[in-house]
Parts: sequence; structure tokens; C-alpha cells
Amino acid sequence: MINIFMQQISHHWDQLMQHVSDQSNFTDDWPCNATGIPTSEFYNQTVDNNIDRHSFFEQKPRYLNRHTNIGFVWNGGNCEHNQLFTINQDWFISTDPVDVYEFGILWHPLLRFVINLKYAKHAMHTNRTGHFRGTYMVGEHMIADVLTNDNNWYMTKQIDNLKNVDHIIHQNCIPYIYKDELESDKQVYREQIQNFLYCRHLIENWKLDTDNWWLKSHGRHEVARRWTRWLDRHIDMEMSAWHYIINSRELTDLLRQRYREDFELGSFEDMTADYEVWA
Amino acid sequence: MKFGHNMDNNRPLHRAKTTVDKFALILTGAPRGVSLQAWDHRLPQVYKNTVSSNDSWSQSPHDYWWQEDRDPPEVHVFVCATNFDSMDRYLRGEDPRLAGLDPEPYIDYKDQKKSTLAFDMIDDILHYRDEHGTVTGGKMKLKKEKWEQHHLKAWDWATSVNFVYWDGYQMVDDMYWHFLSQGIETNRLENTTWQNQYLHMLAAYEQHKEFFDSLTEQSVVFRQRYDLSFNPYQSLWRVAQVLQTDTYSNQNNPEEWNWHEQGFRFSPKVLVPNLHIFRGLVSAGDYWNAFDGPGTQLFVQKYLDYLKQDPDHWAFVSQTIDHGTHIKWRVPEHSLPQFCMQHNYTILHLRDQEHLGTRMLSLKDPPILDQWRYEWYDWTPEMVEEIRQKCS
Repeated sequence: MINIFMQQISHHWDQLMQHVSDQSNFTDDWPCNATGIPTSEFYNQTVDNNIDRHSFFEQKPRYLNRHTNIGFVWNGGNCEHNQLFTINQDWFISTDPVDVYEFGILWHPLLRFVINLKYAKHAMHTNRTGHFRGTYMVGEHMIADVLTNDNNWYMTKQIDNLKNVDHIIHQNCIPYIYKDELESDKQVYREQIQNFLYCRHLIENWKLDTDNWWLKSHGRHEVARRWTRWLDRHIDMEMSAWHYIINSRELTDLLRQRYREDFELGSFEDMTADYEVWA
Repeated sequence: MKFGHNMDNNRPLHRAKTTVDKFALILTGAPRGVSLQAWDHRLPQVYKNTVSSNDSWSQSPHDYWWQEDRDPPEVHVFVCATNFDSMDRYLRGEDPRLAGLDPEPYIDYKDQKKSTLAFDMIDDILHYRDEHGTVTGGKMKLKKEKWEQHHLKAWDWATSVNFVYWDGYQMVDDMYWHFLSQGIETNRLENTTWQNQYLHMLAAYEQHKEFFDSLTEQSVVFRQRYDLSFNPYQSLWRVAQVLQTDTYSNQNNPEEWNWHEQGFRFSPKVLVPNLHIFRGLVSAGDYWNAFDGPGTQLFVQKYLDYLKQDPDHWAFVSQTIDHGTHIKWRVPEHSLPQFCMQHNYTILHLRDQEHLGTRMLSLKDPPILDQWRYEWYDWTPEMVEEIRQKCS
């Protein structure tokens, strides 16, 4: 069931890290250098200016590392970016296929769906005064509509994105939970994903690298970014969407139907079993 | 000089924490945002800070959170709603996202014919009319069971949760005949429009008179619309601080210059956001305000009389500007402060965004909107699709 493409689904973060250290040759004259799009440029072109993301992501972009011979296949929202590395010059984006050891993260379909939901109906009409740009709307009917009818790039199945990828990491192995005293498996399951939504964005490890020489010399150049309603408004939407889906059997069923292969690929728990407990 | 060295910077706050006897939170208006998880986090969970230190927001408890060893005062929540869905400008197509149905437009708002047809279709969905065309009742009922379940869960920490249901069809009719008997013909409206946010409070008084009669000078009553949310570090103590001790007392020694000793106790108090005076008319934000006990009692008993004084007080927004020679201009923001002026209130002021970190879940550059009409009323996507087919 799992190794459909003879891929390796890893539950061990260490395996990848080991591979990375084996592969490291720290060369600067890597042939892909010239063709890559700098990360900041990617953000300016696609996210900020809302430029034709559809065709960009059709080309299956990947992050490439300048120092090690590995590539990271883009499979979700911007969150992968924060999950793995901060924005710096070591990683850049390329849409050209290159011969590197590729890896990608297989997310829980629910998590990936709510993270990508911010792209749905993103370019909504403004009113006559031009206000309300970038407003997000969420509701049961809207989610059902997206799950049923939307075939844009952000709705692709992960199993398609991760085709021919050398190393698939199961999201469970990403070490963002450190609690030892979790009560049950069910609790673990829920905490793992919800912690991602809450903690990763709001509290933990979201650091901005400042250019301040004084702070740098004192080792304090990485500062936690504060909550702003303008940058973080999508998180409210993600939390609400999450809430709608786990509280509605219909939406849960729609999600499971749509991403059935992804559920199977990752051996994710069937969400129906816990439905009564959660709701 | 070690001025302020040993001084507690927040003495007015601590004073308020010893004097307030009870809080009432009155939620009024349309149920925008209520179904969102964000609403739950930014309303009930923030207000919970009033009675406990909320450890879900931060490791270090904030001054405005309850941190005393003794029991906190009572917090009574009044959840007010209109029995039936009613018409508003967004539903009529001005901005479909604020209508709480579909984000995609379903009415060509600029086309007079199509928007008129849409009005008729929506009117048919919402209203019963008699042979004269007068609205006699509503069709689209609030899903009360779901509504109550949702709120009981959200406010489970409160001392009491009271549901208030009301609709204004009779009142619209009464007001029409009231002014007609004085020889003034006013517009006959479909519903009480923005006045709902105040009239719901009057309904709460009618249905819970015992509670409102028990309010004292040391009570704090906070009225707000559903779609207003707060900075997580706030609580009702912030309001109590200003309302009871802060603004007109000596910060360094509140005992010395307490207005209750200066005859201020004879004036009911109201706290409003964004107070301004335009062309001699006092105006303030209408999405929230706070009263002390006497201020509440006076408002709920006299506001209807105030509306009956003058059709301008009742008949909603009217603007006549005749090259500066004759200016008649009223907006919803005038209503409460004008009432308070007339009844000799002490009007206190906080700028909401700067001082309270308020943020709308609708209307003012909203970060997130919900499909609230689908959620709380029996609207279906098929109804919207039918309107879209004919009117867009």
C-alpha cells in the first residue's frame, strides 16, 4: 500500500539528516546556481503580487540547497518553508528538473488542505471603493464547494506531487513536538497537527533575522516576529476551517474522499473513528 | 526624587478590582463571525480573562486578568438576537462577502433593473406582507437550538447565559403611527435596521427586569456587536478601570480626587469609543459602549422615549445639505451620544483600536469573514444560485 512508486516513506528524520551529511560536498560551483530563482524573488513575484501562481506551481518547483546535493519538493503551503529552514541564501527555488536527491514531506491531508485554503478564491472582487483586498472567507458551504469543485494547483493530491521523489518524510517524524507526557495515541494525533497550527506560527521558532550588527555581535540577531493582524490573518481562517471540518461529518467525508490516496499513502488514521470524541 | 518609585502604576485598576460588584455583557446585532473559531478565541476566551488568568495566551499573566485569591465578581452574558433574518444593504448586493452567503457576487449591483428584481426575490424569501404591502412578519427563522448550543458552550465559564429573542416588526408599525398621529409621515421601513444594536438591549431589559434593576453604581455593563473582537491581553477590567476610577481621578492618588466625592455620582456614566463632535453633533462609535448601573437603567428606560421625540431620532440616516445654508445630517453614530447628552451623562472615552486593540470580524477591512447566513438561518446555496441566475 505504501511503496507504490518504490519510494521510501520515512518515519525517521535522522535518516534524511544522515543522507544530507553524507552528500555534503559544500561546493559553490553547482550548475543549478544560474537557473534558480532567489527565494525573495519568488515571494515578490508570486505571493505578494499574485502573479500567475497556477502555471508556476504546475512546473513543480523545488527548493535546492547550494551546499548539499539535495532538493526539497514543494508539496504544501508556505509553512514548509518555516518548517525546514529560515529564508536565507542557502536555499533557492528552481523549476528546472535537476539530478539531485529529492525529498518531500507528506502532510496530513487535513493540515495541508487548511494551509492551502488561503489560496482559494484569493482574487476576490473588491467593492466600489476598492476596499477589502485580500479578505478571506470561510464557512461550511465554502469548504464543501472547494473540496468538490476546485481543481487548482493548491488542491492537487500529494501522491501526484511526490511522484518520483527519492525520499518521502512522513510528517509525524518532523520533530515539532517535545511533550513526553501525552495521554493517548488519539491525543498525540490531535496535538501533533494542532500544535503545528498554533505553535509553529504564533509562538515557537518563527524567527526573523535582523541586519543589526550590534544584535549580531551579541548573538541576538534572531528575534521572534510579533503577531500582526495583517500578516497572520490567514491563521484565523485556517483554525476556523479546521474547526468546521472536524465538527462536520459531511466535510470530513468529502476530505477523505478527495484525498483517499494520500490518507492511504501515509497510513493516516481514519478520521471517522474519532469523530464522536472530537465533536 | 524617587517619585513613583514604590507606587503601583495601576492603582485605578486595583481599585476597580475591589469595587466592581458585577459585570454584564450584552451581545447585540446580527450574528456575524459567531461560527468562526477565531470568534471563539477572540471573544469568549478573551472575556474569560475577567475571571481567571488565561494561560493559553501567554506564560505571564497580564494586569487586566483576574489574579486575586478571592472569587471574581459575577459575569452575566446576554445573548440577544432577532427572531428572523432581515434585509441589509450587503444582502442586496453592495458587497456579497458581507452578506454571509457566497463570496462570489450574485447580484449585478450597478444594474437598476437587476438589483430591483433581486430586492423583490430576497424580500419574498424574508418577509410576509399584507395586502397594503406592509411587512407583517419574517419567514427566515433563526436556528435557535444550534444558536443556544453554540453559546452555552462558548460562555460556559460565565455566571449565567441569558438568551434574548426579539423582532421589530411591531415597533416599526408603532413608530409609523406614532409620528403620523403628530402629523408627520415617515418612511415605513421593513425592519429596525442599525437600531437593532440598541433595541436588543432594551429587549434584554424587558425580559430580565430583575437583573437590570439590581445594578448599582459599581456595576459594569458592556454592550457590543457580535463581530467586535479584542486584543487577547484585555478583559472587562480595562473597561471597569476607566469607567469607575481612571479618567477623572488623580492617577497618583485616586482616593484624593474621586469623582464620587465630587458629586459625580449623580450623573450616570457611559464609556464610548472614538468620540468626536462634527458640526455641533456629538458622535461616537456605535459598535460598543459601556455603562455603569444607573447609566444602564436610564438608557433602557428612556431610549424609546428619545426615539419618539423626533423622527430624526428614529427615521435613520438622513442627510440634507443645501449649500451650507441648511444642514440636516444624522448618522447612526449620533444616536447614543446625543441621548446621553440629553440625559446629562458623564461621557468617557477610549480610542478603541489604540487602547483596546479591537478588531472587527467584518466591515472594517476584515481579516476573515464567515458564511453566517448559511450558518444561523435556513439559507441554501440553491436560493442564492437562483438569484444569481436571474440578477447577475
